[in-house]
Amino acid sequence: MPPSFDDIDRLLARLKQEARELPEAGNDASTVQAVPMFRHQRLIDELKAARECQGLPLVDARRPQFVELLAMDQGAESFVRHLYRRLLGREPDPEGMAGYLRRLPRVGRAFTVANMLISDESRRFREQAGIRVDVPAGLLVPVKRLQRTGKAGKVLLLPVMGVCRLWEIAWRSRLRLEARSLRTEARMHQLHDQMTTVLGDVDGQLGRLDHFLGEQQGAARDVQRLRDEQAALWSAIQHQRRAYERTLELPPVERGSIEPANVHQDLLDAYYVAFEDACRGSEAQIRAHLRHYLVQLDQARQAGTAALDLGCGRGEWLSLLVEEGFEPTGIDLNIAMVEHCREAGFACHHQDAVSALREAPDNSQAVISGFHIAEHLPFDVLYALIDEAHRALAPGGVLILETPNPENLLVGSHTFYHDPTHRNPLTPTSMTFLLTYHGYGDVQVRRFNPYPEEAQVPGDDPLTERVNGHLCGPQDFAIIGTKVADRTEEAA
Amino acid sequence: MKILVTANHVPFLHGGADHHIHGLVAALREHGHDTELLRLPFRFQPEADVERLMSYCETLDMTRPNGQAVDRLISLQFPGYGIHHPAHTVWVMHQHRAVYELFDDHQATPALRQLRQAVIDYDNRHLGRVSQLFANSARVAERLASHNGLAATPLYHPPHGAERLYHAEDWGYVFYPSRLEGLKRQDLLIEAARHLRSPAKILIAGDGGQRARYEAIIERHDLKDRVTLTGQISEAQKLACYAHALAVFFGPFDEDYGYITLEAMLAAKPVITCTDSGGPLEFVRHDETGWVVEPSPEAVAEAIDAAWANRRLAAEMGQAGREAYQAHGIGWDSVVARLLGQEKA
Repeated sequence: MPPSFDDIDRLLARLKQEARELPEAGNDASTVQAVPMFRHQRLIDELKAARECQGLPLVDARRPQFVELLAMDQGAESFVRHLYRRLLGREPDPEGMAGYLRRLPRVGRAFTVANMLISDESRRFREQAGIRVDVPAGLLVPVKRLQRTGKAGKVLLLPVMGVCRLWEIAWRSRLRLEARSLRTEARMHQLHDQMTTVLGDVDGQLGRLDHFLGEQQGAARDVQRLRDEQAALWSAIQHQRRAYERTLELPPVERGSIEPANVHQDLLDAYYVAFEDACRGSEAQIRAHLRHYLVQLDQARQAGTAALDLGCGRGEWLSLLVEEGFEPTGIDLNIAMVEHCREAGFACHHQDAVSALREAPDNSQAVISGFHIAEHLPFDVLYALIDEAHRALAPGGVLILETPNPENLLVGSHTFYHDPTHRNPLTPTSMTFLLTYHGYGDVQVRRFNPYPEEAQVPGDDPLTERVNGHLCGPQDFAIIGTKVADRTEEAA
Repeated sequence: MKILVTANHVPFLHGGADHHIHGLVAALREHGHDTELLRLPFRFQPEADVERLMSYCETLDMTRPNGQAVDRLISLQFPGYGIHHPAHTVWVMHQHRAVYELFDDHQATPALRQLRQAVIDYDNRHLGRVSQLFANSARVAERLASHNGLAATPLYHPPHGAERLYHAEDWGYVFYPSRLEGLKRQDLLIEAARHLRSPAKILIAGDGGQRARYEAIIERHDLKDRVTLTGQISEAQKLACYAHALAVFFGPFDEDYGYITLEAMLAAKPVITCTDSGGPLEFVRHDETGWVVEPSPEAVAEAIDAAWANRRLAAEMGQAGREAYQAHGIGWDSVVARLLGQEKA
């Protein structure tokens, strides 16, 4: 059973989500689902089968000609079957076939045709199927009249039969030739129609191939990019080796939150809550935005229901997770936020992100998320967070980190610094690499919240597009990665 | 060859006509023809303006303007087809509708009456003598035959972005993207929701003058859980909505051509249309590629329920629709070949 949506708003949200993920016209089209292939094979089968099963074709199936019906070039059995199909619309029953074959030598083909034509069954069938037969009136009229007059008529039929028989014999070779030539014509029509259909189909296929060729070229560029990245990976492995060698000699560095020097942390926390309240969007806006991630939740569901939200704030995301059937735990350093979430009935701990992750068992989480926390962390903490998250995620589980998008120049140079606890903007490129480096699969960047249409510079010339792209483009992006099942574990 | 295309320009009123005009020019250029577009400023009112433009066109000879030999003139609209050229192909998008199918004898002003006679004479005079006469659809050809006794060959063209339409699993809703106008009859579909036995949903996209009225119908019958007016949607959203639809509804009154039928067929979706819908009837075969039903909410609801009851069959009908589209051979390549007389019908 295909899915349906009980809630029409949910349906609309999914459609909009899918629409957003469609490529722009004329750009890389790789995510567009391939158009299903049609007919091709079926037509070839039809062409193969045409000779055997379709019987004797007619030039015009709705107007069989008398010569075509007589089919003088065919044997008696083939002739009777042909009549049944064309005039009664069915295959002959064994009894009927035997009867016709017995009478045929005596009455001849012309008379047989006329006799079948005046039957009620044939008349009904022809009327229904809109078939008209041209038969010499000189034949049909006497047969019809005499059949009605009972026994006396039957006797009078004998001379009619005789004339028919003689006519058939006299013209046999001519009738045979005509039947054959008409059939050739019919076959030609048939082939022409089939050819046209096949060519139309091939034309459509070629159009699609063109489209796929374009995609292939895109794929070739991707391969080139992968080659370039390979070099970076090699160098990373060397760095890793040296780092490992150093840890053998030195005690591990203690990492933790930095104690504030002059102001008590509680005061800063209170300031921050006030700041967030002043700057945050409406409940409905936040909710609508978080629903963008329903696709990721659908994907993560196969990895279980455990979820960890780092920096859970007021718990908007926790609430959506619960609605979607997950069992989330929130983590936040701000005690005011933690209390708020607990009051709302969510599991929530006052803890820093990395140590919360360290406590999570291997392969235990379906979703690990951090909305607008990555830009608050020193790089070594961010690095540890991504590394620990990878360990804690179950295969198929998803990591989502959302952060301001400095591709928008106003974000990178201005709005990012509204928040005094922000460190430095993170770029989609560096975050993609960071996740790839840690072994996440299917790493993708999703961009959100462009400036509204009315804030953009009007116009569609290249300069305006560029200005709008740099100044009014998406203000946030999310980096998303999936834990790929370890092959050795799979084997075990 | 050097080709001049003529069409009208109605400032700031854009729609399907623009797609048609620019599509043709782009296709001709793609086939290597040196093509230019000549657009005539057009005002529907006052009637004297229309007559002035008609007489102006009749004085124009585009055989060799300023010594530049033009090999072919292709005209798409009234009154451009009055311009003179020995190799003049006309592909009638539609005639001047105000004096034909939209003319109302009881309400017509004397000026409109006078214009009507002038336009009919003009059409008979010029369309009768062009080298080739095509119509945008069989419906337009029919009107040319009945109003002017002219024989035009229907010539179909593909909808905008035909190659981007795709097919995906159905999500159990009926989709109808169109301007919210009386002639488009979205109310048939909205009212059908009252008679549905299945839980199918209805998505109506687009904006227009009837929006308030349609919203009121939804409100009155408390249908907001079943029917949504999405308003204007983006191109990408339209593609996604087609892709996941159970079926597409397109039941306007006497449409000329109608891209929606073709778009639905390209997305391999069955089409529900009405016996008096005009254009769509050229493409939709009842029980093969969709449903052709009486224009009543009950009949439309029955078709939607039928689609819901057998979703696999509905999907097969959609595929058959896609095949039917291919069998029609609709594409800009064949349009160019036919217009330039390089291919027999």
